[in-house]
Amino acid sequence: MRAIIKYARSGAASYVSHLDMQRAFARGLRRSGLPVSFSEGFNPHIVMSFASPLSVGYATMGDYLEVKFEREILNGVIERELSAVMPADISIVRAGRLADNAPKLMAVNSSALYVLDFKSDVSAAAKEFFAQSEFIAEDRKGRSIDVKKYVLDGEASGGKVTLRLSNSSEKALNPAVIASILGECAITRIECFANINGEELPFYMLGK
Amino acid sequence: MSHMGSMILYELLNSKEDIYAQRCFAPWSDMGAELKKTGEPLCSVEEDKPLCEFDIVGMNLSYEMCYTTVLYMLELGNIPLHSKDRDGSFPLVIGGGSCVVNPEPMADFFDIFVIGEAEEALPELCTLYIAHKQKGYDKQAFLEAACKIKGIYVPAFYEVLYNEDGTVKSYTAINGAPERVEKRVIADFDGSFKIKRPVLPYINTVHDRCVLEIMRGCTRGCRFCQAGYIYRPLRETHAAKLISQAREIIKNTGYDEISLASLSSGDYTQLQELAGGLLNEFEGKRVSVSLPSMRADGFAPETAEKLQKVRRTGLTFAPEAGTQRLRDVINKNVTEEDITKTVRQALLSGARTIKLYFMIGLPTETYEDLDGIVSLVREVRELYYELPKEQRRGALSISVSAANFVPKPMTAFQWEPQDTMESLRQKHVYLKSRLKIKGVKFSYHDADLSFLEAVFARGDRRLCGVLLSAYKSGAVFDSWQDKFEMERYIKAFDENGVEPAFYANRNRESGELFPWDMLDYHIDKAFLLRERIRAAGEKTTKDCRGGCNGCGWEKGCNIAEAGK
Repeated sequence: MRAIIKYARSGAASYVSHLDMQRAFARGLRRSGLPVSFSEGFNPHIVMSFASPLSVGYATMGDYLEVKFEREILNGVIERELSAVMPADISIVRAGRLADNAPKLMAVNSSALYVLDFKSDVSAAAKEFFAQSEFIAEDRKGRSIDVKKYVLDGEASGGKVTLRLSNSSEKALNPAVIASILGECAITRIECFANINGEELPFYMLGK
Repeated sequence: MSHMGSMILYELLNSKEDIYAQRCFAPWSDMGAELKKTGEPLCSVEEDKPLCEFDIVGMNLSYEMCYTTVLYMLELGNIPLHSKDRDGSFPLVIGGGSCVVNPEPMADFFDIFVIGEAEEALPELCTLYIAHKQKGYDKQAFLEAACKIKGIYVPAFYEVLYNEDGTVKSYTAINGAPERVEKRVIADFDGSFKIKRPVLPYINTVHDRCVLEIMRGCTRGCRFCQAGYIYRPLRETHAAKLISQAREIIKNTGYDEISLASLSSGDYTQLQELAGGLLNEFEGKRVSVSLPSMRADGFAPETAEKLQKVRRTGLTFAPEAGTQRLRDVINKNVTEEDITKTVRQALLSGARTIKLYFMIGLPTETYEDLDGIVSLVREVRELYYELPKEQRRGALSISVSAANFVPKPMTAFQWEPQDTMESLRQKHVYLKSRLKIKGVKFSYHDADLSFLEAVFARGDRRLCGVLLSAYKSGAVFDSWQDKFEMERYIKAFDENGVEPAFYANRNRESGELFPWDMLDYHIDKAFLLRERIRAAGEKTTKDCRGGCNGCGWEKGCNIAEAGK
């Protein structure tokens, strides 16, 4: 069976790189004793993949991975068994069954919602940014791009800025680019969204 | 969390109700600079507690070139560097590890060194500390009581006098300290504490897998090898115990790899039982088992079959010297035939990366021995081309590494001068030009670093000042090439009026009193001298298992006792 697992991370775990995060989950799954499926070959690894890599330094309340299991697992068992063995700073929010013919999570990745937490009130500057039709800034590779093309939604209040940004394989923007326009902040991903037949849905809707 | 000793002690101490052990690592220089700038102290990982607020701070001394980094950690932890400047309000600073065979260059900075295996000595020391703390802690009174525990060396309790020629004249034990500090050895190694829940870091550390210590000690008697002498006597853990330990570690960590640790895993007498047991239990769980290179014959058919299924990607082999003559001098008892046999087998099972480790600057070495390295490398390369053509898939890559020989205390070569830096550099150039062979990569160690290793390995207390001067002028992380600057040390030797060649390049008299002679590692000087003479005569000494060689272990060594 294919399962979709929603997880959150905070504290020290926010500084774990994507590769290390994959390893932490692989080890957690092994510790849990759940009947995970392995790939073939000389170096078998657990069949799992993440919807969207999370940058080093970001906390999350809604990130996803899918895992293949050897057999059906009753509702609630994955959450219970995995929660019992994962490190304190990584928590399992929910898990669900993913249809066998459902696309890979990575393939339907569409957008992500972030909260940027600034030390000071940035609402005026943020509102001005939202009001503009175009805003040229340097992306992380040093190219000048119109970042407004990636901002799907946004609002600001005091030191908190909420942003929904494109996050698909063709079109994605790291919130750090916008953070760098406004100042230093802590970044938390709130939710990841999939595009299913033109509809934008939080990933957990894919799970049953 | 790559260091097995720290892992054992961490878990062991935390299994005791009245002890809480936390970890602290040297922060990289950028973080170190930030701490210095803000005045924030270096803290533990577990509770973010400043080092200076602990009762005891223990340092692992595994490598001479880490000494300045130890000073860096103490300073960042707001702990005065010198033992004499720390009263009872500061933590007790203790050290252990393979460098405490001769801890004298660090003697001024430490209150206590634990000599030998710490699994029993360290809890005893902590228990004594607790008792003293309960009745009102006084550092001097505590040290006077602590030095009565076997294996506890309090350097301040030994007064050292020097001869005019700079050698040690005498040392005098004071404050009731024993004449000589005996190395601690766990009597029941098989039944001793074993790791069950190793700390699992997020980042990929070196040796990031389940490691089973199958054996302590080694009976081969290689004359250059300090580990071979100081970890005696040879003791094994039972295969059944190791398999259940592996089961527990895999359950607790989710590791997907198991490897074996010892000085010479091929010599473990229960290897068949262990390999078979591990493969049977873990193959189905997709946990890979890395075994030492060994012949498949002698194994149960099903185990042999499983062993053969494992594709070998590489072989690492340490002939150490290029000619049989020199291998006899150092008592590395492998023949050219052993080498070619092992390599041919590895090539047949698919290995395409061969790593060959050599040492240069060994006692009695000539350029003929260097030529021997070159011809051995060529021969290994030929073996590949002798394979039937259909088996010659993939390009062969041979890495040849030459380490500069560093004479170490408590070995048969503790009297020998190290080859000079100039001579070592000439040998590097010589080998480099002759090893320009297709598919062969040659690397060698920096002569500067090896020279300093030799100075500190056999140094005395007058080097404490040198280390302090070097540290003050910026030396830290000296084993990182981009951080190391020889000039800092040259200046430090100068400032302290110390001639480093005295320690590195001097031929010592057989009767000389050594700086580390107050430490008793149970290896007779007379035995080491005999070994030195045999080396000069190019005579080998057999493996202890072929009969006791009389190294000084009488009680506690199964081999010596069986021979009586």
